[in-house]
Amino acid sequence: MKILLITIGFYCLAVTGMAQEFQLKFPATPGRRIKLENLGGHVRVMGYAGTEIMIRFFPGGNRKIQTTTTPVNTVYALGTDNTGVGLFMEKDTGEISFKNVLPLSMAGDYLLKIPEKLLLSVVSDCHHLKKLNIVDMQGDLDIRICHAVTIENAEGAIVLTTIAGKVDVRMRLLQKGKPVSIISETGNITLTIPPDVAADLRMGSAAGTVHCDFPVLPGNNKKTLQGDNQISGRIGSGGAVIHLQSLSGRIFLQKSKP
Amino acid sequence: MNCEETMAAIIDAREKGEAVLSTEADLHLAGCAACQKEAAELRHLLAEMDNTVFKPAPAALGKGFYDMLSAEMLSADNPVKISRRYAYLSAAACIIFLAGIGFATLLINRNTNKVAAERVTVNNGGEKENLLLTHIQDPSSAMRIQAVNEVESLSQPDPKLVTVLIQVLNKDSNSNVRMAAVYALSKFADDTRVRNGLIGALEKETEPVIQVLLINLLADKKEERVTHALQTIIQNPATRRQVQEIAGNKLRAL
Amino acid sequence: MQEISDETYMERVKNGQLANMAPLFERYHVRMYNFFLQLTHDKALSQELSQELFYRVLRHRSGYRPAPGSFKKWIYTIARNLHIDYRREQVRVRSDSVGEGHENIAVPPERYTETDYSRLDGALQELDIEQREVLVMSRYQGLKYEEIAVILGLSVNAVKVRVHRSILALRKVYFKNNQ
Repeated sequence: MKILLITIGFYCLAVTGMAQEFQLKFPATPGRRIKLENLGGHVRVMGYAGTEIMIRFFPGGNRKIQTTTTPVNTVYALGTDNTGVGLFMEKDTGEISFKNVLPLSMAGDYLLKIPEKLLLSVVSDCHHLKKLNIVDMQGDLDIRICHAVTIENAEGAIVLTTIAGKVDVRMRLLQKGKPVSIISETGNITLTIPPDVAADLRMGSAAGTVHCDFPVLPGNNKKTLQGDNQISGRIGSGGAVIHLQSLSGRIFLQKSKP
Repeated sequence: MNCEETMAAIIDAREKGEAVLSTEADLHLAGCAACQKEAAELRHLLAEMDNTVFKPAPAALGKGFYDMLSAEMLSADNPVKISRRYAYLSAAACIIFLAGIGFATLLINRNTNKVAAERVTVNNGGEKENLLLTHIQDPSSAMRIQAVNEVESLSQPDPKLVTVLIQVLNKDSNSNVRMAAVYALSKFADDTRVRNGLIGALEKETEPVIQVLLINLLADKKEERVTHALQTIIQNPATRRQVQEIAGNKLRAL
Repeated sequence: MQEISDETYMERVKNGQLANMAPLFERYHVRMYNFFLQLTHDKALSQELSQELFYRVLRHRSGYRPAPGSFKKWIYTIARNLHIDYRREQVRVRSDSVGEGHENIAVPPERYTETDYSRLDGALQELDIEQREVLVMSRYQGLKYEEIAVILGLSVNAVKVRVHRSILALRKVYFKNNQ
C-alpha cells in the first residue's frame, strides 16, 4: 500500500506543477555526504540503490525561475543558481552541498532521489524548510531544522534537532555504533524501532509525558530512572544509543509491528 | 417575546452600546424568573468577553519576522536571468511515474543484507581512552555522540578525557552532542572538576532542552553555587518560559 | 497628518517595496498572535502560526487585490486558512498515530497549561471550531459582521445568527463549568 502511495505521490507531484530538474552522478562511497541548506517549502528525500542525485523543483511562488535552452548560471542576491533549480551547488570529493539562493517569493517544494548510503545533512532556519520527509536512507542523517520531520525506514545514525515541529522517526534497523539522538523543543517525538533491539536509553521531557513500549533495565550507571518525565536505562542487553529529549513535547518510544 | 428572543435582544443591545432593552424584552424579563437568571449570566459573560485584553506577543515573533523580511529584501531585488532545463508536464509525469514503479520494485526486492555499521570499536585500558579522544573530535556528530556515550561505561575515566568532555559540553556546536556530554558527565557529577564544568556550562548554554538537563542535574546535587546562573536564566527575556519556571522552582528549593 | 492605510502599505509591498511590510507587521502581529492563541490556546503554536502567516502574506503578495478595507479581510482569511490547514494536519497525524500503535498509550488531552488560563478561555475551548472562530473574530478581534461574512463566505445574517448561537452556547458551558 505504502509503495503504491509513494508511486502515486511521485506522479501527483509531477502533474501538479511544472517540475524543473537537476541530475548529477555522485556515488555513495564511504563517508561521502550530501548537505542541503535552507531548501524551501516541503522537501522530500528518497534514498535509492543508484549513483545519481536527482533534484526536482516544484515552483510555488509568484515568480517562476526563468528558463532558456542554454544552460547558464542565474545570479541572485543570495548566490548563484548553478543547478537550474534555485540552488547553489558546491562539490568536492567528500561532500556535495546544495544551498537555496531563491527569495521567498520564488520558493517551492523539492523532491530529491539520492544514493541511499550517502550521509545526509539538512540544515534550515525557520523561514525556509517547512516540512521534511526522508524515506529509505541507510546513511547517517544529521538534521537541524525548525519544523516537522518524518523519517521512514532509516538504518543509520540520526542526530536531529528541531524547534516546533513534530518528529516521527521509524527505524528499519537500529545498530550499535549508530546513535539516535533527537531534540524537539516543543513538538512531540515518536521513535518507532524494531521490537528486538538492544539499546542504552535516555528519554525525557520537561513538561510533556514520556511513553515507552519496552521494559527498561538498569543501565551503565547501575540505576534505572523512571519518573519525573524521565526514563533512562537499558533495553535488552544495551548497545545502541537512544537519546530523546523535549522541553514541552510528548515522547513515544514504540515497537514497530512485525 | 420569548426567552430566546430576549437573549438576542440583550446581545443586540450590547453590540449597539444601548443601555436599555426594548419594552417587549423588559416585559418578558419581568415576568420570567428563569429568563432573568439566563439574562444575568449572559450579561456577565458579555462583560467578561468585552474586558478581555490581548496578551503580548513573544519577542521572538518580531525577531523572526524581521530576519525573514531582511532576507527577502536582500534577495528580492536581484537580476533574474537565465536558467536551464525545463521538464514538460506530460514527460515529467511519465518519467516520474515510471521512476515510482521502479522505486517500488526496488523496495519489494530489497536485499536484507546490510552493510556493517561503522562503529566506535574500543578496547580496554588506555587504548580505549585514546580512541575516544580521537572520536570525540570527529567531524561527524553521530561519531562524537557515540564516543561521548562510551565514556559513561568507564568506571574511572582519565582526567584528560573528563577535561575534553567538559570542553565538548561548552563548545560543541551540535546540541545533541552537548546533550550526550551532560548525560555522560552526570555519572561523575560528584567530582569537583566535573561539577565546576557543569556550572560553567549552565551559565553559557542557550539551548532550552540542555538548560533544563543541567538545571535538574545540579539542583538534584543541591549545588548552591548555581544560584547566580539560575537567576540569570530567570531574568533573561530570551529564555523559554518553561525553562524560567523550572529554574525558579529549583532556585526556591535550593 | 492622515495615517497611511493598510491597503496603501500592502500595495507598496506588492509592488516590491518590501520595507512597507514592517508597519503592517507592527499593526497586526499582536492581534494575529492573539487570534491564534484564542483558537488554539497554545503559545508556541500561536507564535509559529503567526510567523507562518506573515511569511505567507509576503510570499503571496502578488495575490493581494487592493480595495478599501481589503487588507484586514485578506489577512484574516489567510490566518483562518492557516488554522484550518493546521487542524487538518492534526487530524491526519492523529489518525496515522492511532493506526501505528498509539492506541495502547494513554494520551492526555493536549492542552497547554497556563497560569493565566482563565475560565472563559477554558469554556471557549469547549465550543466547536465554527463557534469558536466566529466568537474570536467578532467578540475578541472586533471584526464587523460584514467583514466576517467576507472571510467566512457567508451572508451577514448567517454570521449574526452564528454569533448569537455561539454566545448562548458559551454561556451554557461557562456557567456549567463554574457551578
